[in-house]
Amino acid sequence: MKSELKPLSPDALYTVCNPNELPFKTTTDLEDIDITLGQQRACDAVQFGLHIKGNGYNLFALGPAGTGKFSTIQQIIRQIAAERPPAFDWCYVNNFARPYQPIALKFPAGQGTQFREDMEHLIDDVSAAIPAAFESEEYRTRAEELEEELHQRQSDALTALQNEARNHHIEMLKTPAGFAFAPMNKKNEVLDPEQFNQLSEDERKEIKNNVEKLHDKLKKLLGQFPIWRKEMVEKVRTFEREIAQSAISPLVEILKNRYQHLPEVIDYIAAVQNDIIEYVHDFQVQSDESPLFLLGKGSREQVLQRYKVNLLVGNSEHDTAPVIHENIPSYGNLIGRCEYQAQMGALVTDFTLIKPGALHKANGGYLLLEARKVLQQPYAWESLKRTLEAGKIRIESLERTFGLISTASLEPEPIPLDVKVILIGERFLYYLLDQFDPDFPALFKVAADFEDTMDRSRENNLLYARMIGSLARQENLKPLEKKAVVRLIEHSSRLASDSEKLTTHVRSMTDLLREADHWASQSGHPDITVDDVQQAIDKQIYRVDRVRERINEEIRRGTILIDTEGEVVGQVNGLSVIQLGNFSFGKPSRITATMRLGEGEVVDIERETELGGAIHSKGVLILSSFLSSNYSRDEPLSMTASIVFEQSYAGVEGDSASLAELCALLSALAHVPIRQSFAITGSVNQHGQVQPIGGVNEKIEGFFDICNAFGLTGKQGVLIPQRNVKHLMLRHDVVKAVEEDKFHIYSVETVNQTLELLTGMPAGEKDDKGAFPVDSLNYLVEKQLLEFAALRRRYAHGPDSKKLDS
Amino acid sequence: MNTEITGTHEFGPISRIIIAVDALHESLNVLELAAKLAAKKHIEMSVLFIEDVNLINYSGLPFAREVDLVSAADRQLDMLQMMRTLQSQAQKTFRLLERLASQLKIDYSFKILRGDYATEVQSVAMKTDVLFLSKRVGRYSSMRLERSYRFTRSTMPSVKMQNILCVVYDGSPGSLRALALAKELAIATDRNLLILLQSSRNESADVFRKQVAEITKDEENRVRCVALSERDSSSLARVLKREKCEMLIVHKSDEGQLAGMLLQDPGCPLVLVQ
Repeated sequence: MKSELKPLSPDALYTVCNPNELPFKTTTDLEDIDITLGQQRACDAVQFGLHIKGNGYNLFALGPAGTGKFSTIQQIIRQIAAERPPAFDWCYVNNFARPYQPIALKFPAGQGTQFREDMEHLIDDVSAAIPAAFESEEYRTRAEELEEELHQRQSDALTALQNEARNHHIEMLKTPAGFAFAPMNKKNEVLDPEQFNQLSEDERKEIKNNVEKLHDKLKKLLGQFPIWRKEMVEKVRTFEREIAQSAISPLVEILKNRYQHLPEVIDYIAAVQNDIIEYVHDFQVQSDESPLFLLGKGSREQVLQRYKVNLLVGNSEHDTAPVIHENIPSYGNLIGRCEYQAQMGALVTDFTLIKPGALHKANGGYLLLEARKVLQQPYAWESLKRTLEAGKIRIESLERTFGLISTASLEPEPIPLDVKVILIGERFLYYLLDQFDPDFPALFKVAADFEDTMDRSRENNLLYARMIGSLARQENLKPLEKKAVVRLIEHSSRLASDSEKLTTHVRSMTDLLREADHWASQSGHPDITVDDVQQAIDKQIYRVDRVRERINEEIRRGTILIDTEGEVVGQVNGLSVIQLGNFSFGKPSRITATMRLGEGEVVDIERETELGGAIHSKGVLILSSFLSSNYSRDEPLSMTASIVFEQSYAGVEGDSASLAELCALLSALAHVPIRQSFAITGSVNQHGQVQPIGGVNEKIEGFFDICNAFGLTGKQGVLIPQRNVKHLMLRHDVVKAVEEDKFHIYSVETVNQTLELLTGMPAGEKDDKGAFPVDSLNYLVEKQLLEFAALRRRYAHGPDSKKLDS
Repeated sequence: MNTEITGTHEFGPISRIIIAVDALHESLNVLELAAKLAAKKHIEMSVLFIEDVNLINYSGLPFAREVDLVSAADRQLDMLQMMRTLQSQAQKTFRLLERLASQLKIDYSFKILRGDYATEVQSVAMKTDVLFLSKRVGRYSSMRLERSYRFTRSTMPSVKMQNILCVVYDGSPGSLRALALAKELAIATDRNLLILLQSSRNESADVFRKQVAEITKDEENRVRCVALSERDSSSLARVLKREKCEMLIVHKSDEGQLAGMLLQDPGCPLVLVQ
């Protein structure tokens, strides 16, 4: 019996784009359009996320790579940023009280740069004013007076002591190391030992006592000298402070007036003023021969380094909020870092070596990051989360955290953070983070989900044409003829694997346009023609289909066993899709089933050998269920079946072969052969309904290529689920073969329809009593299952059962 | 007043210069300056090292002690130790003299005298044209101590030590000779010269200034004049100190004046010109 099911008409295999619906000659006639076409949901989400205020309202733009997420978001952000004022300038300056904790100063945009220049001028002016002040006659006179005062005080004290000594005929002598008291004779000469010994005992004793008393007084007096010296030094310092204060006050006041609206800056200027006064000696000119100079210290620049201003972020050249894209989101590039300089073998740092991160630069604006890159950089993700949670950018040295260096480091004052972070990444990253990182949902509350496809309609076709025109203009490509646009729209549907959809994968379309432009140039076409587009498509495929060709070659040579003619029991042509990078193609696979008495078990050899994935195993288990529920329900399922993908040495995943496997199984049970001129694809449920699968176009084309290679007989074809018909966007050669009745594509809805096409005999529907017609395939299947059940029952009663029955 | 200065403005020929040093004072600088002058004039350089007899006598007393100037520590003294110290200083001075003479190729003599520094200097001074004295003369110190605080200005470029030689000029023939020697010394040692015009009247100072300008016209870049307002020695000492004078050159007219100078402390080495 021949099945009544008709093959699909050629029109159903490829949905053309009607050129008459596109009112233009070339894309030059078309107006530009946002390349955000078909991404209304994502655009709304981005707009919402960028405008809403509140903690954690950062964005995650999710979707496949190449769908234009980055350019779409950048376009929207730039529009919004243009309406916002520029961000603040941030500077790090020295903390004179705690140099390891530099102070962060905030300025309106541009004033940070100005402040840095003002401070440089101030220090230059101070460097000139202080030496001038200390060269003044007033200072010199006063300093000499103070010094003279000390010397006079010391001199007076010594002279008084000397006079006291002279009253006792004792002179104060200078010795190589100090002073001594020597008794004198009447000639005013120091007594020599002989003269001394000639004196009476009392005289000697008196002299000795007097000398000892004078010695004691001298000791006490000299002990006072350091104290007097200290007092003098303090007076000099106080005086020097006064001089320095008077010299720099007018200069500092100018600066204070200029920044009076910024209290923190005023505090810093005051601290600078105090420090200059305290270390006024540093404004002297150091000799280059100083040992300190050789150590890199003590030079004028080194000494005045502490008054410098490290302009971390300057927005003087911007008039809108910053939009920063950090391409290498490492820890340091995100959070900022403290760099070091090698000096005499040691690593040193100070506040001038603090470098900004992307968060600093984007503060007050927007920061675009690629999620995958952030996650790949060590500690970048954790530090980004920590910073967003804290609302402050705290620069911490990773080296110090991990003990990689033991040199002194800085703890810069954290800077308040006001930024929208936009992460861009694939969907699986979003869902993984959402599921496994508890911080993620709180920090990235807005998801902008980019569509893979958009509806294909008359209006959208025209919009799509405009988008193609815009892309061509953006990329400085040639204009496209209408037919070329038509072909691109049709190809877009093929890329979407759906005749009712268009792909939104902008990168693929852009690449194709560039390549078509290239071929147009090669051919000397002024505009891109349909041939150029087709050539670009063909060449893209040609460059990557080496593996497909090798596989087809091996099938053709009989190395891989595929029949396209004849009939075989328990054997069917299944179809699978092989994905290699961005290129996928269909490949027929022989599926076989064997049967014997058993305990109702369907053995999936792929699963047993761990070559089958979970979904594939699920599909096979559904077969068991289908058998037991559809045939001889009152009897135990008493067979053991084995199903295998022949010559498959890699993993098999998916349930798209479950219909083929079921057909092979039923063929084996009924002992009815299957036509090998057909290949089938589709999954099946427990009720025998055929369900749609993916990659239908590639699968059909894969079997067509093999049949074409063996020779088209007019009997060959592919059975696909009826619900996949709308996905058909087949190659032109396939459609042409169908048109010429050389190849057929059937859509099926049930297992029975499939069996009838494959075997050529009726499948058979159950009557009111639940029995299949005697001449149907299902009848044969059920009969075989009942025989297995009886046989099993006999074995269950022991060895004599068979004898009794007979 | 006659403003005409006649003559060559050169210090006349001398046979030798004498440098009187002792153990108490640093003699390196004065020896170097003297050696350069001797080399320029191709004359002999005689160094008298005077061992202070008072120190030796005192150190022989049973209670001889000294109080250290820096630490105020009390130390016992004895004669042997004192003599060793003085010998050591003499040897050190001799070695320095040898080195300078070798470098500058000059003749030299070295003599150790034991006696009172002032007395010995006085006796020598009357017999020589030029006598160099190390800083601070006299039996005892003038009770002035070294500078104890580094003032800011001391490190400023414009007030750095300028290597200044000072000479007192009062219009007398002796001061004219002193000025001539000072000029030669300044040239020989590449020093600047500060001429202290000692006059009681303003008009005299102006005359002196013109005379000095005439004498030093070929060296005006290294010469500067300052009028001393007072004739007393304290005024002179203040100027020397303020200008950080490296050496003072004066003429000696008689023994009385010399004795007075020796009792004063100019705060720098002294050159006495006959």
